[in-house]
Amino acid sequence: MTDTKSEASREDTGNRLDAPMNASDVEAWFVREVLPLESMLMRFLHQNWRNKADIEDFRQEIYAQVLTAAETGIPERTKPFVLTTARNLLIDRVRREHVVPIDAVSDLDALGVAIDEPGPERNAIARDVLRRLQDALDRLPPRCREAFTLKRLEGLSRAEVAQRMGISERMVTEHMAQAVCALADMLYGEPLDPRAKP
Amino acid sequence: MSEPAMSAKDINSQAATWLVRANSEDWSEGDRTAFDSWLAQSPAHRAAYWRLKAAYVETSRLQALRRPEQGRVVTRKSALPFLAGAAAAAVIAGVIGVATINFAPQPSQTYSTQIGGNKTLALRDGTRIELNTATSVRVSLTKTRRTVWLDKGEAFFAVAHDASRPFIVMVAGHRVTDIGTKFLIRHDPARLEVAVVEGKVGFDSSDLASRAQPLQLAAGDVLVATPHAITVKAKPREDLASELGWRRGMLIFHHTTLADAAAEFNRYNGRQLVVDDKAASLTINGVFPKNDVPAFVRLAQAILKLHVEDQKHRTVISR
Repeated sequence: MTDTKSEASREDTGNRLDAPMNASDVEAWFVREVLPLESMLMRFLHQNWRNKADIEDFRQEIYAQVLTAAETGIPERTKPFVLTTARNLLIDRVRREHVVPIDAVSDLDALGVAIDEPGPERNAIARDVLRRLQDALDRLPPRCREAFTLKRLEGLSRAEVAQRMGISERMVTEHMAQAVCALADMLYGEPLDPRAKP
Repeated sequence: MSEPAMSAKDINSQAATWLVRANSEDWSEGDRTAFDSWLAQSPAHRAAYWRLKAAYVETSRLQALRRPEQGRVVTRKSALPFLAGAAAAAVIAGVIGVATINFAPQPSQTYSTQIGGNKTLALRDGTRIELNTATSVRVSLTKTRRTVWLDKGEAFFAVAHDASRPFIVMVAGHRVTDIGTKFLIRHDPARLEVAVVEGKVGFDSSDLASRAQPLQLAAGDVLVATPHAITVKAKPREDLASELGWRRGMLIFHHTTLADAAAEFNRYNGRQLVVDDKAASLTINGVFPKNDVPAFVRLAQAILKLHVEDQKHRTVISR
């Protein structure tokens, strides 16, 4: 079983247009097309990889590969491109590590179907974004939320936030940075409907 | 593909720190250079940074949910009765009541308004800048040039012509150059609009490589730039007038869809209007004080016969 699965072949990641792209086009494409797929990508990685500690690195590596490719030409169809990149990364990893975790690649074949389905992700994100943002803000650690709210939403300067919270300006930056990381994870990485969580 | 030298967590936290610093007051030219080279170092850096930046940009929508604070930098609030008390209190508290500010020539100074705010800057060169709701500009006047960065929001510029000192507005990576004129710039997260009321302006886009030649815009021209395209069209006078209605505290709708009208109100008010899909495409005409959400809701209820439901921070209008 695992043998045939681990030999699942790498797939070509699809057609691309050939003009080199400038950075702002690539960024706009990445934000518009790739980020809305993140919750699906994370679900796929969680389903297909046992060691959860690897997942954030995988996501990062997949995005880096996707961008490297997009910088020479934006892929025509984003979802199959991202998923195939993810699939190839997992296959490479399985091969490199020799030891095949039994369920590491269990869903790779089933993925062939999922890759071609047009997803509702993007629309769902746009519709829901305000509620999701508010929810994400509510779930930040209290000090992060306070710093973020004062600085970003109420427009206080960093010095003013530091004074208001009784901390150093450097700590304000740290709280803000932590808040942004957590918000991005909640906004992009989580299932679209939190009630649907297992 | 080789093993990444740094973990995703490390890269992510570097990216977050850059993002926060880039949005701080003391971001310098040196910081910018260091940041650019960090960003150019690897696609992993760009992925992490762009992802966090996108989330950060999205959070601007949360600003719209917050009520304007009283007595902060907003110097002039609407003259509507229910806000008059707040405005009077602000004056008594020593906040500048009449919004005229003289600039000394200095590196760059930031001026901003909160949601629902409105402020007029009178520059020493005779130029006037009117800031609309939730707007932030930085101004730098030197002997050789006048530069304004419109970081967010909307501003109307009436520029005093001075051939020896070009007047330049930097907005979202684009450059708008005045040639003695009046114009309006609106900078939303995903969209930039430049409307020329009088005279001529030049528009030079550093973002779109395809657009090498600067564009010339004449009176009546409206330019719209999105991350994908730049379009220019001439607008009828009444459309232009409605875009400028906010300068008189009014929102002017002319064959405007209910969804667009609600979005306009939402720029100025803490209580957000939500219009369901079925009602969204109805069109209306009318003039409303920008803070008078109840009047708009009454119109929806009484004239368009729509269903209205007040929830915690928002009012839902449905068919």
